[in-house]
Amino acid sequence: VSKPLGYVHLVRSQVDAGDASVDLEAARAMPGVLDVLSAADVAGQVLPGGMPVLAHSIQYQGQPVAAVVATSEYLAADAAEAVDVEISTSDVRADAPGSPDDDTRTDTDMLTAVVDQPRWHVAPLQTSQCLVEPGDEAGDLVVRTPARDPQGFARDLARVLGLEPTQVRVEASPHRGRSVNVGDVIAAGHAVAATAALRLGSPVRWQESRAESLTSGGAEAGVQAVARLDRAPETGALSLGIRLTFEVGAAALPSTADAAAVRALPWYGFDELRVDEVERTSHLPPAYVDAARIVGQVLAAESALTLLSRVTGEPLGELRDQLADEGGAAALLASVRADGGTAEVDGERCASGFALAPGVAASVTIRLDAGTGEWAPSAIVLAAGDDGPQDLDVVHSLRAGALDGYGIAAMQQIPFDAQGTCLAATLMDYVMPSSAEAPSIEIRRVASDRSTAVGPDLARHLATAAVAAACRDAVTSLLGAAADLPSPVRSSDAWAVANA
Amino acid sequence: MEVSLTLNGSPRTVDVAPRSLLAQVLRDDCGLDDVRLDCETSTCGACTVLLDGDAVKSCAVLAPMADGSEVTTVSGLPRHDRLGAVLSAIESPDVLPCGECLPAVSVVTAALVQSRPDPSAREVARALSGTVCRCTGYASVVDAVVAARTTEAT
Repeated sequence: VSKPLGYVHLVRSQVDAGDASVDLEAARAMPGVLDVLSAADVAGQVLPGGMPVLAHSIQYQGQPVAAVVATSEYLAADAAEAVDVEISTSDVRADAPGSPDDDTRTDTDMLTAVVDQPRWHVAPLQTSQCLVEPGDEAGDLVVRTPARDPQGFARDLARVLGLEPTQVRVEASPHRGRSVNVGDVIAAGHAVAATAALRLGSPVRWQESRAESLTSGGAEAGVQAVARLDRAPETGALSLGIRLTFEVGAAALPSTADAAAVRALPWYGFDELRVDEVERTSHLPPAYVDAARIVGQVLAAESALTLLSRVTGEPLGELRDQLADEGGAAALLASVRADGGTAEVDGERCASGFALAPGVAASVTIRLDAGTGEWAPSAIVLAAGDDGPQDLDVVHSLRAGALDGYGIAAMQQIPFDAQGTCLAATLMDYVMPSSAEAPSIEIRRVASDRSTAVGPDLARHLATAAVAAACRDAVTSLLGAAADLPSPVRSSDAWAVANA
Repeated sequence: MEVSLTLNGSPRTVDVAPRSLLAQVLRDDCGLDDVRLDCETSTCGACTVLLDGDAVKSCAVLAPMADGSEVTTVSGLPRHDRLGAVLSAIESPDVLPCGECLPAVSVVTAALVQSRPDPSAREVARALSGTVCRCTGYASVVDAVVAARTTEAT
């Protein structure tokens, strides 16, 4: 592997709309700086999804507007701070991520539950990165990067750069990137590193930082779900409307095969189910959009049912059973509900919670320290249909999704300022269960009336959604605070309820 | 400044910036991309290497601090005897399919097995608690280490 001569650091917009003008002269004079690029230097380069590699017209917070290449990543970062970015703010959107945007009906017969999930992937270990070297022939490139589909990555990157497909060769490390999803998404940094390698004639490295990954890539941005549940007075028919609002982005959401597959899976049988999406996340990879859809819908539906139970006095378990039966998911839910109960173990209060996601039911047993509000699961049971893939990839995905579900359920708040700028974004912002903290996770295969066959990626999202919702149900069950706990269930919230 | 290491059993001297991280030097100056660099906040543990026999997160070690030390990455781990059997077990694609954490898990497991030849599942889980895996829920690697020890013992 060649030692890189240059390191790329992207200069990103701090606001989510406006026209950027950049002054590069001060950065160009900084020590170690090899090259400085603005939107004009990569004019015509457009990423898959339609975003420019470097933007003049800002469409989302964190969008790259310039790039510095220097002899070390430290010097590149220092020089990037010297880039003077001015953004006309006449039309800046001031709505902070996650702020309610509720302009629809206020019908008093409707129950409304709001779920504000700040992030749905707990720990994206692998940020985007690449090492780009000039090839043997002039204008050719060799790109080393994690990728599930190296040939597809090379083809797409060549298209971005305006090169022939044969001019870009991608070497992907084996055993990398299959489950971490970011590998095949061409980001601005890939294109900038490739452009710089061509301009300098030397190897150039780009590695996305953790904060960049969390705040600008969109891959970790959250979803807000507003669920409206209406029960017809005469027929008892339940109508659920869910509106999903994604926090970043600019244009229409892509519809994917996974989204269609979810609709075919056994879930709750609402008499009417409507899902609307606010179109603001076009640069999200489809896999992440699917995860957001699933997590948002499941959390919102479970919240709405909890609220209905509290208002009507109907036992939540009976509501779930009835709807699961009507949705063809009775066997899945019954399998995990057999493990339910509340108990006291070693002086700690324990309770189980349940949730149903399309095709996957979850039971989570938690322990809670009422003195601190800290809670943690001691056992997780997932039930999935027995007609799906039985391979290890699906089992791994269900287990990993279960831990992700615990993580996002217990996630700490990510602070934003009034302009929507993320104030902190590191791995310390949320709970990523370690091996020592991981509870036992049992996977059950259950005969189901409807097909539950899904692949590893979708299985993971479904497990994440089910376990996240079941965690909150468990805390709610233990504290007896129906519908008053938000999701995520932070220890401070649990403590406040426990000590009210 | 110059930093001299015994890297995977061979002497190596590299010229580094004083604020360089050991992880960066191993990757960029020594060409060892079996050292992963993911979170850069010493949380994920993907960059774990052996420093004089101890498992350390190399993104939390300044390169000059390693001057004169013995550094072992996954590619420098011994592949014979009992440790080799354990490493072979956890390197199965069925255990850690993504592979992002595999080098770190291997290094941590090597450190554990060398000090505790017959670790329990709980000991394995505790040892791996500084290495985050997003793909498996950890059960597969813990089971693999314990199973390999059990198989070897019989």
